[in-house]
Amino acid sequence: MGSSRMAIFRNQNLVRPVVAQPAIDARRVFYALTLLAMISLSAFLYLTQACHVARQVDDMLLLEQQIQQLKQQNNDLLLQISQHEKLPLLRQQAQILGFGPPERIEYVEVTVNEEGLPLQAAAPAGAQASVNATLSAARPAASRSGGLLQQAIGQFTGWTRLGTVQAQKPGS
Amino acid sequence: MSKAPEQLYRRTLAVATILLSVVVIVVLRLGYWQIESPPPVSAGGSEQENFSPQRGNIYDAHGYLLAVATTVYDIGATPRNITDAPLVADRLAATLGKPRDKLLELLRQGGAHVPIERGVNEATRQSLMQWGEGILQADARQSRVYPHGTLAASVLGFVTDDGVGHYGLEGHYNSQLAGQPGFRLEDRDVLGSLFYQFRPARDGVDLYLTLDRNLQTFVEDALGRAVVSSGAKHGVAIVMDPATGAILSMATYPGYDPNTRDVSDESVFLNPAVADQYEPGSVFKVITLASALDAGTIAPSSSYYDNSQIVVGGRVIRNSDRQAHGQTSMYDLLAQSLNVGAAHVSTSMGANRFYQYVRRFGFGELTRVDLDDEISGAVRVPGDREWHESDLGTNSFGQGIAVTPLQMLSAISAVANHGVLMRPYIVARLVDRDKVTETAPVAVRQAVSPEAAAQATEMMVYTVEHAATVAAVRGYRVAGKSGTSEVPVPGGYDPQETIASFTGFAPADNPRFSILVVLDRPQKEHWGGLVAGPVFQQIAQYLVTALGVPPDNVNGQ
Repeated sequence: MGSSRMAIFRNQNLVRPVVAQPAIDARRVFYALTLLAMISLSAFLYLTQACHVARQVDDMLLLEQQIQQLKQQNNDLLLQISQHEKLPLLRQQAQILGFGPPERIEYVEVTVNEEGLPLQAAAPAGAQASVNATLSAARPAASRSGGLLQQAIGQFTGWTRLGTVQAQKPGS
Repeated sequence: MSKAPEQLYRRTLAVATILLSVVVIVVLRLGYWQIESPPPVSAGGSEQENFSPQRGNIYDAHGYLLAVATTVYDIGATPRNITDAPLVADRLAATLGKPRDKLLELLRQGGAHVPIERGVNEATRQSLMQWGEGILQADARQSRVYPHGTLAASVLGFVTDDGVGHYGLEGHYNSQLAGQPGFRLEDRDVLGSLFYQFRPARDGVDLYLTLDRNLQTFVEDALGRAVVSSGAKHGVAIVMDPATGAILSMATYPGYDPNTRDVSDESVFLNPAVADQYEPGSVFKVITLASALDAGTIAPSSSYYDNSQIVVGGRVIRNSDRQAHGQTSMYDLLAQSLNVGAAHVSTSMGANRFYQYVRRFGFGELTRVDLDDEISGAVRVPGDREWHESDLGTNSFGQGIAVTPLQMLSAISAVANHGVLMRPYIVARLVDRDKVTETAPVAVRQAVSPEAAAQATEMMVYTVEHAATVAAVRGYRVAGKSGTSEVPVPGGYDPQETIASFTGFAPADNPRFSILVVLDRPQKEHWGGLVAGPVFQQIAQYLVTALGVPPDNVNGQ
């Protein structure tokens, strides 16, 4: 009789822990882990964002400083350019290159069409004016596109001739 | 079998505790950073950081630099650190171009700091610091540099060390040129989280002027020569495009260097072209005649009898030559500059109508040019306590009325511009990064009809061709008029002093420019035609070449 009671008691002890513990703890642990993960993620995001904003502000400050430096350098260069553009210096350089005040200026009458292209030229007395008039008069003979091409060829030819003359008379 | 769940439970609890601790630490650390101290990445740690804008530059009509913002350095020395003062003085003198003895005297004063030179550029600073480390100091500061020195100084004005513009364009456009400072401000929201307010500095706008650097140089040179050779006190010359009111040149003499502003009399800072008034004298007869032609009280063919004097309001008005000229045409009235004729014309108009035209030409009011310190002149009109009936006579030939040189030239330009008075301006456009604001010419009003303006122009051309031939330019019809006015002093006029002026425009049929030259109290010669006329001619001659104006016998159209 006594042994059978003991056996029953043992059986009861064996059953109780197996039924109660696993079902409750697994769910709680899952919830706790999820909650912790979310909190951690939020904290991480917040921290990352705060760092990002702070870094951006720092970058902006650096960029602002760089812009200021570049602007300053730009102004310094402008100042240097203006030093080289001073009229007395330009005058001196022009004289070295053989330029001088105009001695005689002649104006050439050029009739232009609606598009601003010359139609005909009438030259007053003067060799230079005649040359200009001839050059101007040669342009309207061709069509517009042809005229532009001829003008380009003419300019190139004139440039090569000028180069030849300069080569023949150095220092003239 | 019985130990496994318990072990899992314990391990999970341990991991959870660790994670929770990490979260708590992170949150506490965040809270500490945000509440107790600034974030570790914050530079400086100050509540607000300010950024200075860069002042805008000033360019002429062709883009040549006239004023630029730059960093300069004030060089100082520490004499107590110097062991070989003569050597340092030698090196400083070679680099700065200052007298060696003066530098040596400074270096031997002893002490912690002596100023050596202000406002040296970056290249000079580097050159000095190569050997002067430890004994020289270079303090950086923002500065304004005017690369052309005295050129157009009265137009440009200057900027003081505190960054504020004074006089001229620097004063008038100070707020636009200065820009807006930026800042970075640390702040917190309601939850105590840190955030930043950031506004970058907004640089000042760049000004592009109507002024032509080359022309300005020429005009200043011509004016300076005339002032020196005539012994005048000072001079003003203005060149304007009469069709738009654009000021192509505005020269004053004597000038000053805005870089140093080293002057004995600060009144030189004021631009006399807009801030000084004078009695224009016979130049004003052009206005009287144009007004009378428009009012219809005279015609180009009109004449009057000149018996050497006329009484207006009880005051006797005489010609400057004291001669009687008999029957005189309106053309000869202007060419011979007869005061009696001018008074005859103004009295025939009547006071109300005469002063109505004076107002229509812009006298007695600001031209509203974009320069600082402009004054409106002084015109007494009927109804004013100071006005006297005799003023109607004297005002007709430019005495008893005070105008600014710019007012006078604007009025003459109205005659050149078919009777339309334009508002003078000197800034062609403002450039604010990508935004460009062009200045549109503004027509103030139709002062006189185009017909009256054309008739007055013909009279001015006649004047240059028959009397003021000194102002003629070969190949061009030039319209002009001289003026020689007495200088008012307390109790009357100074019999020894005059203000000599000449004004006009060319080509008369299609004016490209108008010019006014004023010389204050010339000593060697007193007549406007003789003193100011040649300056006018030189400038006009230069302009027809520089602007490529074809002569009258060439069809410019």
